[in-house]
Amino acid sequence: MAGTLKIEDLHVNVDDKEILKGVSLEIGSGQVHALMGPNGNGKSTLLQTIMGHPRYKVTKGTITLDGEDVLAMSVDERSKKGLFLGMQNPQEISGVTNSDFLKAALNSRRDKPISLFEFYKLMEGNIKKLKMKEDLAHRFVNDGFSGGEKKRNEILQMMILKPKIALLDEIDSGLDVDAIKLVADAINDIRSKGDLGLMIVSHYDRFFGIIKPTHAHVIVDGKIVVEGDNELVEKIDNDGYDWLYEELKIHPVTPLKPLVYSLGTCALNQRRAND
Amino acid sequence: MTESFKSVDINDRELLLKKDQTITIRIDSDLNIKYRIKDADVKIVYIVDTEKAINFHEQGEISGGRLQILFYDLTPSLLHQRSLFKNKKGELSLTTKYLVRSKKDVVIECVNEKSNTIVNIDNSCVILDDGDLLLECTGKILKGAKQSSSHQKSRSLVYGSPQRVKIDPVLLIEESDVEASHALSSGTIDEDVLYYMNSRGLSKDASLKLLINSYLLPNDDALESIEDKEAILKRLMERVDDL
Repeated sequence: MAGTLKIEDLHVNVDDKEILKGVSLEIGSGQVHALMGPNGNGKSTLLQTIMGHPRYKVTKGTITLDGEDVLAMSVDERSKKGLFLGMQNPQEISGVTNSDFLKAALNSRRDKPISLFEFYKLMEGNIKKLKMKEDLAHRFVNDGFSGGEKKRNEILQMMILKPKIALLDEIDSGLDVDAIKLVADAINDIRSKGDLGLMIVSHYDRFFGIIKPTHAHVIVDGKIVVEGDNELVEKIDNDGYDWLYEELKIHPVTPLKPLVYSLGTCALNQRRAND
Repeated sequence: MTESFKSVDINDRELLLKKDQTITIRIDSDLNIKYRIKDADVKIVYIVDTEKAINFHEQGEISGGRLQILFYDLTPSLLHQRSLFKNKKGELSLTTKYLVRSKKDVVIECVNEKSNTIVNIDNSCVILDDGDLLLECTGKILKGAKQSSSHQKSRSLVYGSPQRVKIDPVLLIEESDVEASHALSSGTIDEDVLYYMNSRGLSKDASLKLLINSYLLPNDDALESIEDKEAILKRLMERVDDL
């Protein structure tokens, strides 16, 4: 399933504040795009907007998948057309088992429902590949999962749903060294067998070292300020972003820190201090 | 509902159940039933599945053994339920599931009358548009019922508007050497959960049905050994699909 995702001059507001200020890029089948940049500058916003999160309002620009207007599609239609978002914080769905959830998701994009035998074969095979616990199918979706288990579960869903374009938002955070390699190898395995296009947000060179992006983009203050390939990924890993700020005379958005209030002074300590 | 159900009139009857058995009761008209379990392991599955308003009165007594009750209310119409259980010796496990699309008025009382008796109650409710549920669930441990336990938990999923739900979990404890607890959770469907499900290709309707089923479908163990298991599950799914 080859697909081309094209984003042109995308402007996005969140709570009436403009976060993306004109992003354009194109992801073709078989390509791996690394999306980099300091925190709070628009990476996750871009991914969530492509998937259609209702909180993110597109004020200008277009997104198309194989020429079709993605912005006109509902979230589930986007998924059925071949988009997948591996989330930074996957939701827990208590009471719904992984197998019921995935079977329903898989059947939503098929004319004829998958047979139970075929489904369990597919699920068990992929669970083994990702070295997940055997009882996963019967556990509630992400309920009581560790951070690493949740991220692997996202990859499991991707392997089963077989999207055209997958967007992975810090899918490697929360994974230990061995699990990062396992997940990266699984992604490479999918790539080798098909035309999957990927856009990956990650802060870890180790992950990109195994995945080897074909393209790289750096977002600062809602704009792509520099593009390149794996060499750019390596340079940022070695030198950080300061050289970019200096060269381009730009400043990143600094995420707001939560306010800390004093609850007052401990009376006992105050008395001791006075003594 | 299905041909596999046998039609037996048990209204206004008092039953003595002395053998291990599983009984499935389809309630399609008013029912007043009394029974006593004596040294037996009995499972009763109730299914309220009719378009008519239902008055259901039940009195159960356990005099040795184990009584396991699974109560499924799938009816879109009114329900007036009074269930009273007296546990003199043994264990009571009560699981109820309510799909609420109209007025439901439910009072459940489980009494530990003697020592070493066990009561576990698990209520799940899905409240839909125009649903109106009043559920009073009381666990009572009488004086002298030492080392008894009474635990209850209730959860409700509220969807649509307008809707009303009032669940009162009550514990009345007259003895000190006992274990007792109650838990209640009530919430609406989380928009982020819905988005997550949509992002995997499930439409809003399909997502809601999956979430509703998660509240209403019994776990595998609960329906184990029930002859009409498949018919019950099928009917549950049909009722949710009809929404």
